[in-house]
Amino acid sequence: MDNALQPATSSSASRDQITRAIGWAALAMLLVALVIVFTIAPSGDVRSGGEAQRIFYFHLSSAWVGFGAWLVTAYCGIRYLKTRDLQWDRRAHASAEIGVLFIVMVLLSGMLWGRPTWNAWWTWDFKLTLSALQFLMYVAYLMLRSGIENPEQRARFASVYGIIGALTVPLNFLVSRVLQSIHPAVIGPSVNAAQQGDFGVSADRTIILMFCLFTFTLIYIFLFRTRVRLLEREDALAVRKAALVEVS
Amino acid sequence: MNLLQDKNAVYLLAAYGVFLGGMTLYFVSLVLRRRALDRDEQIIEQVEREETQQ
Repeated sequence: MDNALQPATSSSASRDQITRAIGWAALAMLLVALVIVFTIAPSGDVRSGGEAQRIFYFHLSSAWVGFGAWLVTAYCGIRYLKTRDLQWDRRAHASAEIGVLFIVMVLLSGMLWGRPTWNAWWTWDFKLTLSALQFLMYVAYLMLRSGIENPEQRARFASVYGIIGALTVPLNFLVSRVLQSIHPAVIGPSVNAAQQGDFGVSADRTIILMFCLFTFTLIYIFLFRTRVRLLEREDALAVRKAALVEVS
Repeated sequence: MNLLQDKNAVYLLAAYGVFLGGMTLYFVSLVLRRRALDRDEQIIEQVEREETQQ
């Protein structure tokens, strides 16, 4: 039996408690991260946007979650195809939905950094174009799901799509490192580092960045657990509704 | 230099508005969806009770 269709137990209550605790911890860390970014973090030089350089900490953290969510969706898709357990499909769905949010934040914050730094809101650079494509692929994933009624068929199609879509994640990471790209590659080597402005991350910035990455990971876990729980309840309710229609 | 005196501070504040606004909106959507589910579950329970009584 699909475990979402089992009645609420003490284990689901304890799961909710854990989710709430993660939520409070994520909120506290988010507030600390904001204070650090706005007061302790050094401001950038003119080439990196001056004060706008502080966008970088949350921009990269959003990208980490946005692209990582694709990998989680793909992993859950693989697990669904292996086990045919709809719980994996719910996890894939939840992760993709959160991924859309964070990719939107990446695109918008990138534009807000690009305007004072590149003097352009947007360029059709490989990395930027690929990021926009990933956003559209996420949206298409959710549209695909909403267009199929049968849960098993929906899960199967979405799993395959999710696995294929995740291939763009390593491509996006590599594109600004191996091709000519205006987008800075702040982590790892790049073939055109000089043209990108030689943006390295100093030791003090690295610590702040790691803190922000951890904070955003915690936010993702909180949102993911909350959304999965809602999807479980939605599915259980749909079954009860269907049973009532059959009876009447 | 004061952060707000920088000519690029407006972009910084707008970006953090996007981050915090985006996450808040999504969280609010989750709360609203949970409330709608609670309401639906109550209605279903009521209908199920009526069905068993008949």
